[in-house]
Amino acid sequence: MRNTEKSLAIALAITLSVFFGMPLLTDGASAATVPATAPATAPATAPATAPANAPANAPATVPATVPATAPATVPATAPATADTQVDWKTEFEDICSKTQDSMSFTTEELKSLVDRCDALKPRIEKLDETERKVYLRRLQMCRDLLVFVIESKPGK
Amino acid sequence: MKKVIIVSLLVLICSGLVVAQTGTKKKRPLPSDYGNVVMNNYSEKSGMAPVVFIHWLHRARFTCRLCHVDIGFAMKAGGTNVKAIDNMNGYYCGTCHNGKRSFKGVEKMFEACSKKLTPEDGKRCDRCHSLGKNVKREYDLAEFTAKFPKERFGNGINWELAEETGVIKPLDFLDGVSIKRPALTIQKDFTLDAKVEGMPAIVFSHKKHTVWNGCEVCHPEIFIGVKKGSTKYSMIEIFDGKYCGVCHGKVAFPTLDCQRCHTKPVS
Repeated sequence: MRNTEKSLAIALAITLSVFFGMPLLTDGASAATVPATAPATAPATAPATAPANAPANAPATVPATVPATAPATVPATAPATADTQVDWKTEFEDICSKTQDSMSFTTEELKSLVDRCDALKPRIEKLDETERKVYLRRLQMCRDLLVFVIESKPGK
Repeated sequence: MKKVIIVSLLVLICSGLVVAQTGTKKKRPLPSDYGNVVMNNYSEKSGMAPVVFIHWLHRARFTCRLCHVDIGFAMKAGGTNVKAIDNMNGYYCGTCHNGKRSFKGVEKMFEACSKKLTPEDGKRCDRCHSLGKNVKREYDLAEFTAKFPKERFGNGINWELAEETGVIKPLDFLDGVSIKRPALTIQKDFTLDAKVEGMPAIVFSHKKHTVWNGCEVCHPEIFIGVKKGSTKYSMIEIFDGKYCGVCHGKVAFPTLDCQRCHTKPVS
């Protein structure tokens, strides 16, 4: 009889822990929302010692992985000349400054702006990694909006 | 013995009913955590703690558009793939956090991921790479927002009203980054009928949204169909993080706050 009681008690404890003790999910933002408590996998502190690939002069207290990984991400392509930089940026700014009042443009004007976006894209693709990443996204958003406005024109 | 069995069965039935009716209860984040984003594309791989981006502090000072269009942050957590070198080159976080730029000419912003590291930099790294660390924040939500209009959900702040009444004046232009553009022509407001009988229709205000977002944040990435009725929205999809749910429920007030959107009086 005592065994039965014990078994029941264990079963009850398991059931309760399953229903009420399970880790609760975070809210709608899921991974994007910071959990109230830190996950066990997160390192409590930055590594005290520098990894083997860290620069020799890096101070031991500083997370050496920053300088170690950073240069590796720099693309091998040569940076564009100052003149070219100015050219693409002026063109980019000229096109994308028109998104704000794009509803007032005619379909032909908008199509022309989209064509200019397409012509500019290969020039941006030649930039350094970071600049390329930022401006390709900006150009894409700008182009997408212009196409969106074309699509929304009456009669389309 | 009988009593034990009866009690056990009752507990089981009750707990079963609770779970069956509501599913697993979701934990609501604290107001100071609401909207925060963990960035961990490369941090842990590099031996650093993941970055905790404090959304409320940034949205109190900058428009969504400035960061998500001009600076180029994606709308999805982890979608930008920010690397330390990007910040060092003066992009993404490094656009402002470069040790030179100051907020409204007053507060100098600390440098993110500097090329030259000093022994003191460990603490500076911790300002962002803080997940799982007991880092004392420079700004406390309750203190910072003490005079802000309050709201029930999210950060507990009515950001829309805070902007409208001038309590906050989010910057929408950054020298050397933003493009000079003409004033935005604000599109008309419109209504969206609710599918549930008796539920007030939604009055969508373009004006309220464009103050923060301009055009590109929402169109066409979030809202593709522009013609009325071309996209059928459902609350299931919105709760699932689509359409309005891209922002509302993550950073902007959550969709639990029905009356903020369903505002048109039922005739």
